[in-house]
Amino acid sequence: MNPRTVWNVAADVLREAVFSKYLIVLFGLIFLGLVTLALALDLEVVDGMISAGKLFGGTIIGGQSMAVGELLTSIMPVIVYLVCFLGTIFMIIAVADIAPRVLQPGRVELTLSLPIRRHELVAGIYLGVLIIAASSTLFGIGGASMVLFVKLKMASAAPLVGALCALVGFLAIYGVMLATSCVARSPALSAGFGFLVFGAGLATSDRRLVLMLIKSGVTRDLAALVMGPLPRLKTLADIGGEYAGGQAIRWGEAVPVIGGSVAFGLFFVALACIVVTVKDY
Amino acid sequence: MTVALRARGIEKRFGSVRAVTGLDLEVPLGACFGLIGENGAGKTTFIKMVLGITRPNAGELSVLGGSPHDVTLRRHIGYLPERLQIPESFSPLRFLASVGRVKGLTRPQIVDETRRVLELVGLDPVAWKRSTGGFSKGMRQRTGLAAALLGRPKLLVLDEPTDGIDPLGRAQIRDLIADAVREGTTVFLNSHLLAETEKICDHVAVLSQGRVVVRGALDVLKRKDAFRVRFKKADGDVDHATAAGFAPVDDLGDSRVFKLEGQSAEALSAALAKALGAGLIVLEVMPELKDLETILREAIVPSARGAA
Repeated sequence: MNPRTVWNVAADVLREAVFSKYLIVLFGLIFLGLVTLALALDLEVVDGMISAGKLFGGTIIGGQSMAVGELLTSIMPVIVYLVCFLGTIFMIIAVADIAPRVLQPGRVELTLSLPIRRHELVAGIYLGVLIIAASSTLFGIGGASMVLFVKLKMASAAPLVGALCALVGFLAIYGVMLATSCVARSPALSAGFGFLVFGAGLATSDRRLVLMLIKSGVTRDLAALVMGPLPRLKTLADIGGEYAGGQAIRWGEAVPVIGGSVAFGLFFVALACIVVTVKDY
Repeated sequence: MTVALRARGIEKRFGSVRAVTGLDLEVPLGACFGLIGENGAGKTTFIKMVLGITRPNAGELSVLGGSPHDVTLRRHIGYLPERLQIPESFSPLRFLASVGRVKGLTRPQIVDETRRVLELVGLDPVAWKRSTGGFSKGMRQRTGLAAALLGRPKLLVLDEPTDGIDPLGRAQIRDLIADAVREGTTVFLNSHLLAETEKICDHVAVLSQGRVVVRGALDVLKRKDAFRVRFKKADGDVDHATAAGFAPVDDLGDSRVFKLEGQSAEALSAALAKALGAGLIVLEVMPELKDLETILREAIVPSARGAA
């Protein structure tokens, strides 16, 4: 695999994404949220303590003062959860048409006639989407951290690390979306499968509970088999949220969940490579 | 290497449909080769196999002496697909830069080459930085053609290059292809416009139901073994000419045109000698040529009957 070729494909995906209406809306909404937070949140900080706080003019902290760190640990997990759930939903919609567009008839033929290997094309699309997802996560979480830093005079990298969990979860989902696009070249199907994995990934986090609801026997065994390799998206969000909230990472739980999600995503990217390699265009 | 493209026994099936069957073809290096045939004859499928976009089920295919799947070889191939889709947000400059980067051109080369090919295809410089989303079909086609010409390819594969282009633009593209051939580029052209193909190409192959039914140099294929002779009008010229083996065709006032059909050049010489001996004055001798449409019709009808 030639990294330069992969980067060239990814760079084209990014150049095109700059003009994507969905991504413009996504970044616009994040920006709007950050501006609203910056304007609506009014905090009085004295010696690391918040003596008064207002949000949209309504008192949120009054009477008793609160430590800055205490407020951060309660706000940051909320932001991480927002990124993990709302951010993922937006990203599924925003990037669903990227691969089908690159692989559309009349365009893929020209691309494949150039000095480019088919798996490099797939890897380039995945890399491009990875950069888009990472940028929007960084923009959202970084922006929120920046606003809070200005207001509280205290910074923390914990939410960024927490948001990485959202990124890992999304990339597992996008592996499936990419493989779907390689088979069908349809943005709707790509998004559909993305939401399917998202829903199943949330349910898989409470696998034991879900399995208990299913009648024991072949159906339950089959459900367990299907849920086994799925990325545990809620668990990933919990890990990110807990870390952003100042708790230590439980590595024994985090490593298999993160590793499993990465492996799940890469498995589908490999599947997409195989599909594109054997397919006639 | 004297052959730019060699195909031996190429087969391609899509499910139960045989798109290409036992196709044999050789495209000489430096030729301008036209592939013609009806819709569904397998022309685009064959072109895609030449470029490694589609894989044949059987047969051997060699392009510029290598495999169509050899990635390094593709630096020397330029391709214009039949229904090119350029990212709508891209300007021609951005699109060509993207193609140039994948082709391995350096930044200065991209700048120089982009300017050269855009001027060559006659795209208005005002449009160079505009997004192609608002382009007409002809402008998009010119941009695609510029991409195919980028990096001076050794083999230029053009699928309907003049599709959507106005008559003056077509003539410009014809000249451009002729220039490329003069510079040593092999051109492999698929077009429904037979008059265009006839003007541009020196070799043609007719594809029917997935196989080559006629192929060769165009000037050879166009020969009819029939001649028209214009004699100066004189008393008894009809009798003398028919006696020499000619058939009357037209009376042009001060001259008469006669036809000698299904005869060789030797037979023509003998007939002319006989007519001249009888006192007729020859004004003009013209070999009768078939046009490409006739070649296509003659090639396809028997092959279709054979298949039936």
